[in-house]
Amino acid sequence: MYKSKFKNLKINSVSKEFPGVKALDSVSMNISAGKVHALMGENGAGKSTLIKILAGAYSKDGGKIFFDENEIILNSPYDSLNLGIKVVYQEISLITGFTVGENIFLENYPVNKFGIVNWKILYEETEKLFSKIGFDINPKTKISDLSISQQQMVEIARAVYQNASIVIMDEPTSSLTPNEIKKLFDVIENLKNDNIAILYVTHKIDEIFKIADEVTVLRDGKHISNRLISDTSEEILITDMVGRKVEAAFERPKSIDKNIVMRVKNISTKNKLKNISFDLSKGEILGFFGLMGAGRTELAKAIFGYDQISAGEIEINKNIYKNFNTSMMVNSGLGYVTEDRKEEGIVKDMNLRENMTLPSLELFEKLFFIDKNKEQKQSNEYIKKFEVKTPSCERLITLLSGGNQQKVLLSRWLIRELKVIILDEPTRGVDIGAKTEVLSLVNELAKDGLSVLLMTSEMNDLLNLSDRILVMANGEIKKEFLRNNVTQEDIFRASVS
Amino acid sequence: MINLIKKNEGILFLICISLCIFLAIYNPQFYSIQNIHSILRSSSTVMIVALGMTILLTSGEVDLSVGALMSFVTVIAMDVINVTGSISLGLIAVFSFCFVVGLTNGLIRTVLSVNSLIGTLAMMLILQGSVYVYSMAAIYNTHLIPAFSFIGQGFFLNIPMPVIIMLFILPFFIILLNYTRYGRYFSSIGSNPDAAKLSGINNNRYKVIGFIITSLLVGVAGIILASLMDTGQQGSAKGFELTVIAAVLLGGTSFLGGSGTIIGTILGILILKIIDNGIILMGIDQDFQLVVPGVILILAVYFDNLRKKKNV
Repeated sequence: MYKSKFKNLKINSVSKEFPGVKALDSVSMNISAGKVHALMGENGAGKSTLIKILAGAYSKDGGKIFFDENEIILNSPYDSLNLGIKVVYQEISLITGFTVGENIFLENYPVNKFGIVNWKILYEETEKLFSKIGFDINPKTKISDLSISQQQMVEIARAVYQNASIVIMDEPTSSLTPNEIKKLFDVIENLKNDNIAILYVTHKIDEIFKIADEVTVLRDGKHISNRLISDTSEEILITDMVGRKVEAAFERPKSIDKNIVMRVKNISTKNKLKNISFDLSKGEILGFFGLMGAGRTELAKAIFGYDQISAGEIEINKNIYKNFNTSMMVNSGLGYVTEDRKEEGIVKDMNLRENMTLPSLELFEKLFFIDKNKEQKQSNEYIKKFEVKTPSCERLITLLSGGNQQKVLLSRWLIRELKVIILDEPTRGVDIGAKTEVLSLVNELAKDGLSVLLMTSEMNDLLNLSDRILVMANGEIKKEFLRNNVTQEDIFRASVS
Repeated sequence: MINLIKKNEGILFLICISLCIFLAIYNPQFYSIQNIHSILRSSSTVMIVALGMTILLTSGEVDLSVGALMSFVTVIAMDVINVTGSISLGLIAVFSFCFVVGLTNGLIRTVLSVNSLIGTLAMMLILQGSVYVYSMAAIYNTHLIPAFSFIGQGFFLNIPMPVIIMLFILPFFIILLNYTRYGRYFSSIGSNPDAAKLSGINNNRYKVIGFIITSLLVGVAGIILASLMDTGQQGSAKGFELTVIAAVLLGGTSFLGGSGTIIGTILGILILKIIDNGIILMGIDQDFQLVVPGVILILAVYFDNLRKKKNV
């Protein structure tokens, strides 16, 4: 890492259109060296499109971009990388079969004059980089053996290591624990000292006030405001983003009737979970907190039947399950929203409607034939309910933004008559307006009798929505807390014990 | 009209028509009734198996053993009917055998987790070898039951029987893949197996079903072939799997989540068979008949990749 000579990037009235949608409409902003510029906006506001234009992945339809007062045309990612514009995306793009070190040095392996790689130097340099940044990962680990959060850290290190002028971070903290977020902010401070500019795209307003110097808010493809952090407040930014005031807290019943719908008894898995037991009552929202590696996703997948349990059983409405698969669990009224929508959620060759109805096709069947009209009616209902930004329900799912895809995945399960829904990071990549819609819908369904297992690292959501919170660490349940009787610090303390 | 041409089926249709016109001019024997019937008969057997192969490719699997199985089926069919004098017993023998082979292919994939390319390749070798264990020599038709010959050589309303049989089976599969939930299941299993599993779909069950369906369809095709040849011949369907796979891929179905259509597959088969026929009519060395599907297979997958790239 060296001191960058870059000064500023001027984006002047940039526009971008797709069939039926104007993704960017004359957006202007300035990104200055050595400063953190936050980019905020609801889903579909245009953030991803802007990032992709700066990264050279999309071409702009109108406007100009000036790099240090020189107009630039970005025809390909190569052009952007040459200028030092690096992007760390929400979706991981590392080579999973390679090690961490190999990924960091992907474009310039240290070689001798015969072209033979000097692995010693490669791993030493990676170690040095990591200890400077403060990440604790063995550089010889294969990417596929890392969790999503660890992979994200490698992505950030990769962007930072190869001389950068602007580092664009797209929702960088969505999989990071508070400790890691702190380390990330330390790294960002280092980058600022090296004169690098950061474009920080996030939904998390509290983070912006901790790390950013300026903020631009996009809404529906237009830029609504460019403000100095010192001159603004959370309220103002939220209003900029949604154009309306947003309520925060959720009303939960004072106490939950002990009407048990699911009993998890002493389940363990081969690799992670150890003797997990808990009961779930009708209409209860049971929150799960844990640091990276605690086992929440493993627990979710084990309960849902995706992974085999090595011991224990699950009782659902008097039926005992020892050896079960997802098919059986879905039939007994369970639903599951995955945290990894790209690899485990969306079926990329199908459109929105087909993705939404996938687990419930027997509900749309009339004498062996699928009733496409009924499918369309139902999908359109949920498109409206969640304000999914799409021209129609026939649109290919891959053409939707990440947040809109998440809404479709949620609808996939909410279409069904569920007894229990397992939510693993349900609002990841979803903007504030939609997040509130989703969570309040979950709240309403819980009031109507749906039981919820809520795995989330959004502490506020956890505290606002859960009736009870179970804290996990190392594959075990460490502590149980009741709503209204617990603070963030209590929860953190329990998760590191 | 432009849209039709841009679409895969449009291109295939043009290629097909061009080939027909070219061959008709080169050798008028091309459009003689006997020749057309011959092309239709050999296309039908490919089409029947292609229906099963489409299901498999859509769900991310493949079956390379169909040729070897088909040859084996001709031997079993002729032998059992010769010995018992009963077509019914012959059918039972053939379909039982096919069921077992299909089930085995399925279990090798789902229980042993051997990928289907390797697994069915191995099955192909096993079948190619064991058919000689069953019978060293070819088995000639000694039963001479007219109903049996009618299956392959007969006509109904002036249409060759194999085509009738194919047309009988075809609608069932069109409906299955396009209008029932099973079509969606196969597609999602091929496109994103994790997402399918997390939607409550039992991936392994449907893969095994795909293998069994394919093998049973091979049974039908093998019986037709035995009837046409009046012989049970150990190597009679060698290379058949290449033609089937090439046709399905030409038709637009992809390894990475199917999007192909039945029309596309039909046109693909016709193109392959017309080229086959052309090689004979033009007096070209008949060994080229194996070379052609190989080359087309490469081109088909290449064009499929181009198509996928254009859509992104």
